[in-house]
Amino acid sequence: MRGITGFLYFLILLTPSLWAGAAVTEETYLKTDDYITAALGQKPEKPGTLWVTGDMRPTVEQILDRKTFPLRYRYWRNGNRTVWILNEIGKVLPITTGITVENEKIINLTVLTYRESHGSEIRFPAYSNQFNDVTLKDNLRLSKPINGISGATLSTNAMKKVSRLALYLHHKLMEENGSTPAK
Amino acid sequence: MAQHPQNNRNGRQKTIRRWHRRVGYASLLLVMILSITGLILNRTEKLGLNQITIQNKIVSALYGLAPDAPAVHFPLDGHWVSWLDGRLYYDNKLIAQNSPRPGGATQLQEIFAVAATDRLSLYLMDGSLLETLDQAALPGPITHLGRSPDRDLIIDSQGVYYNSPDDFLSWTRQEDLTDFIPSEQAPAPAPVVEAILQDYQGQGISLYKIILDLHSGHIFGAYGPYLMDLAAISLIFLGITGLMKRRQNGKNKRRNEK
Repeated sequence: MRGITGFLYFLILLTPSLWAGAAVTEETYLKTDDYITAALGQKPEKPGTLWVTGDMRPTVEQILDRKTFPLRYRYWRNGNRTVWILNEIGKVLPITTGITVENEKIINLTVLTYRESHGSEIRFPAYSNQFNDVTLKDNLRLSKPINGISGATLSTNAMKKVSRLALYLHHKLMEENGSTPAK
Repeated sequence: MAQHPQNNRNGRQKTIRRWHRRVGYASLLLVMILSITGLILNRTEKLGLNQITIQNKIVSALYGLAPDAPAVHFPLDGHWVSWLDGRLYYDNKLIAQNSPRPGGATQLQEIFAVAATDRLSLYLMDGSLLETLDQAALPGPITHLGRSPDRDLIIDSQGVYYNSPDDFLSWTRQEDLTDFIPSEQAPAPAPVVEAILQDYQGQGISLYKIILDLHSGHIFGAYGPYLMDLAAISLIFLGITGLMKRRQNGKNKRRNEK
């Protein structure tokens, strides 16, 4: 019985509720300014803004699968390369993501700030590199499948949404400037 | 006089059996709760537990349904911006969720601004979101928010004041502060307070939260998690003592056969 008692004491020591405070809070992996500078060589003096009006609204609504979103998005641009800093809710809190798009393709997706308690594995390159060279198809889906992460389903869904949105906004921006044909 | 080993074994066997029974009866209910809720939680998304909300007297009594922090209210021109536990309201209209506690809100020319330390949100006068500026688009952390008499936004960032001459695309330092009108909290009229409280409480509690709290023991109060820990430990205890009983029974059986 003495052995059992000792083993039970050991288990009690391992009991998670006794450690307390294990909840993860906001984690910033890369500052937004640093991301923009790295993506464009230098941070432009001013960002540009793209208004989501008219026929763009139903499309953005379809991509984000919700009715409320900002009326305008800001971007940083150098030639045909644009950087979008987008916030999308994973489960309850927004994930801040930096997405660099060039010639209608994502050339980088980086999770800048993660605020949820679970699912921060999406920040690892093994996951985020899957978005490299991805384009947007006419049906507003990504051109190749993105493998999810077990236990981070909602966060991976959020990443797919922001990548689609960045590609769409980039396309509309280039279209406004006459750089690409209309889809 | 030394005790016979057979008597020792029987005594230990009886103790194990007695404690196995006692712990089994004592933990039966909690172990069932732990197991059933665990099974349900593993299927949260399939069962759509997050989408189901429960609102009744028992749940209200259990959860108190009191916000974690008191509401804050900022007056605009004839309107109010209020915040309650992550929910942002324009008068009694919910305009944002999961929103940080605002440090100020002020009326501008055709829009209004709501600021937290690292975030500035701009809204049209119908409450629709124009844009949210984060750290990359701000000159620094926002300490205070205010405006000029002409309704141009002024930000106090750690003692340095900024205004934006070009629709919030860039910021310039403002040295003259004589016309700075800071945004300050004020007690809102009773109808506004009641409306946002009713909206907050009207949400009920998600079934996922109730089952999770039942599983973790939080629903039983501050010591609930320890109770559920004991239930989990008792499962391990029952497993070990069950194995010991079985091993001893096997030995006895073999001895009898000889």
